[in-house]
Amino acid sequence: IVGSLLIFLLLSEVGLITQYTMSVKLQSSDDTEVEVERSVAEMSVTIKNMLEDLEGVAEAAITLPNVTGKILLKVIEYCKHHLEHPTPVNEEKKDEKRTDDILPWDLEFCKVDQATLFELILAANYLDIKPLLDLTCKTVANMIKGKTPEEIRKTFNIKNDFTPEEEEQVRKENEWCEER
Amino acid sequence: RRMGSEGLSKQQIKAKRLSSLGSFHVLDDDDVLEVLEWLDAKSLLQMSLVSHVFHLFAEEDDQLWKPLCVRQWTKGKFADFTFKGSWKRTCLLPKDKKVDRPIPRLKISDFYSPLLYTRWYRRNTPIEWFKPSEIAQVDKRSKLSLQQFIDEYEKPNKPVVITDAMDNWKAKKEWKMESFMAKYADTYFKTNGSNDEGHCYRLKFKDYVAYMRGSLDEKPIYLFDNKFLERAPSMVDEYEVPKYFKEDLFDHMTDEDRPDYRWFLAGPPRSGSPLHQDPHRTSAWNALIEGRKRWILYPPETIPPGVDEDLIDSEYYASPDVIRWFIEVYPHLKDGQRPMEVVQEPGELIFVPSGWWHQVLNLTETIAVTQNFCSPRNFKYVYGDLRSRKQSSLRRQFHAATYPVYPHLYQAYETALKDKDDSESESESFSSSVESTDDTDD
Repeated sequence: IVGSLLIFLLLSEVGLITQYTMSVKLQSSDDTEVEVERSVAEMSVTIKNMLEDLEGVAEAAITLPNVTGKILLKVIEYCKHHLEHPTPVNEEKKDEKRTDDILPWDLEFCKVDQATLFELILAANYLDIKPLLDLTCKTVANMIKGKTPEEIRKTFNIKNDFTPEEEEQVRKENEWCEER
Repeated sequence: RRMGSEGLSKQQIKAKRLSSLGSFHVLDDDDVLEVLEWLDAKSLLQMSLVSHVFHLFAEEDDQLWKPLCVRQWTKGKFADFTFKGSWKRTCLLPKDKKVDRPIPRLKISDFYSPLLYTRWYRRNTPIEWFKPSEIAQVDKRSKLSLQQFIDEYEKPNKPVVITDAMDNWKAKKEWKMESFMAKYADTYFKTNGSNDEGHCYRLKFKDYVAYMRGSLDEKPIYLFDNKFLERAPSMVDEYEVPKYFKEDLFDHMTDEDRPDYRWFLAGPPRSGSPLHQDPHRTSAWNALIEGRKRWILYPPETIPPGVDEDLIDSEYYASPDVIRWFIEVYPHLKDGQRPMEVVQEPGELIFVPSGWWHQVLNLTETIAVTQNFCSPRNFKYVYGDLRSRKQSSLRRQFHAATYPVYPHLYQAYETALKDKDDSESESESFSSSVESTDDTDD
């Protein structure tokens, strides 16, 4: 047993046993290639599942046709940081959908233009990274909260396609619901 | 919104999304709803005034307004909302506000969303269409003796509907929606709706009936109470465990130690339970007092169509919701994949044997009572399950409580286990298999 263990160690040093790949190559839709530690990549459930299917294959490279290079780098930045600074798990398991509890680093991370923010939502969904999806959705929700409909339209470049009668009907129903 | 996408081209829909959703147009419909899930009630009301498409999304009652309503009206395990025609109105209006106007609906003819349409379809498609096939029906029997039941159904682990097991029950007369309203209107019963902490909340019976008769949810909330005798003690005299199921090994454990074993069930049409196997491979009986239930059954050794094999160990319900299963899976079943089926009528009781997969759809308002049990016949499955799981405390308690009374069952189990090991490890063995002697017919 000791003999075979020694041989195993020797071979893995030489890199001939790629079963335990420590890093993964990720390729974006526009051919950007990034090498990341396996543990970082596996924060994406999608990538984790793909890696399980590629177990034992040398030089595992994962193509992500739905993610551009720019977004991929942002996602990796998020995963790296959160791997190094894990958020303490909330024992209470409450799902109150609060949006006022975003951590400072995450707030900074989300200070990007709208297009990038929405692309991050799509990427977080496709890559199945729940904390990133929650963060980006919360960020957009915070851009909505406290605004009037007209302010919301301005923020997101939305056309008001209601007729005056339609708008009046909805307004009346909402007001009736809110009255005490 | 309600019709299909006839008359609207892809370009038209795309253009509408672009103008009506603005920057959000790059997201899929369900992503937009994900974002809206994070809004409070006030902000969601604002969204319904932003544009046509946001209006439609912000009015998504089930996904958006139901959680807000539960959050607003639930304290811990007690929910105190009185349903007012929609989750939105239930959330926002004062509790006792009289609703004197219909819910206004906008007609938006230049937009189509497959997601919204699919949900509308599942909420509204008539469920009487799902007619059970004539093949592989569950037997309906009456005048069965205990021994006949054991020999013909329990030992072979085969389901059966017994049509005369409830004949003497007071419940047949007493357990109607109207008499419950009279007796238990203000009693809190547990539902299968969950609050933010993931716990099932309780509703007053009258509030549950208001919900049941006023709502059109895709997956209606079920009244599903495992402690109903605590809440309504007089119910204990109104039903009794039928003779076929009186011998339950778990009875030797205390109520605190034994797993949940009896439930009172009430639900509207379209409610039900997706395909699942009962815990610990216990067998179950379900006595239907009012209404009609449509059952789908698959034997223990199968993985029924629609069930996600990867989820079986982690999720109790590893299969789609009932309506989705009937719409998406049932019409495409090939000959070898068909289930056993039956429509259970009032006064009928169904026996669901150990390990059988089952799915229930309530075709009407229903009231039922159900219990799970371990008998000498299914002992080998139940004890086998307890041994295989990490819950050693339950297994030890079960063993301590039942071994003194049923040592022969344990011995037979060990013998069968040993024989199985022997025959598996020995390649040459001509010892005839010893019949497991678990037929102690008491």
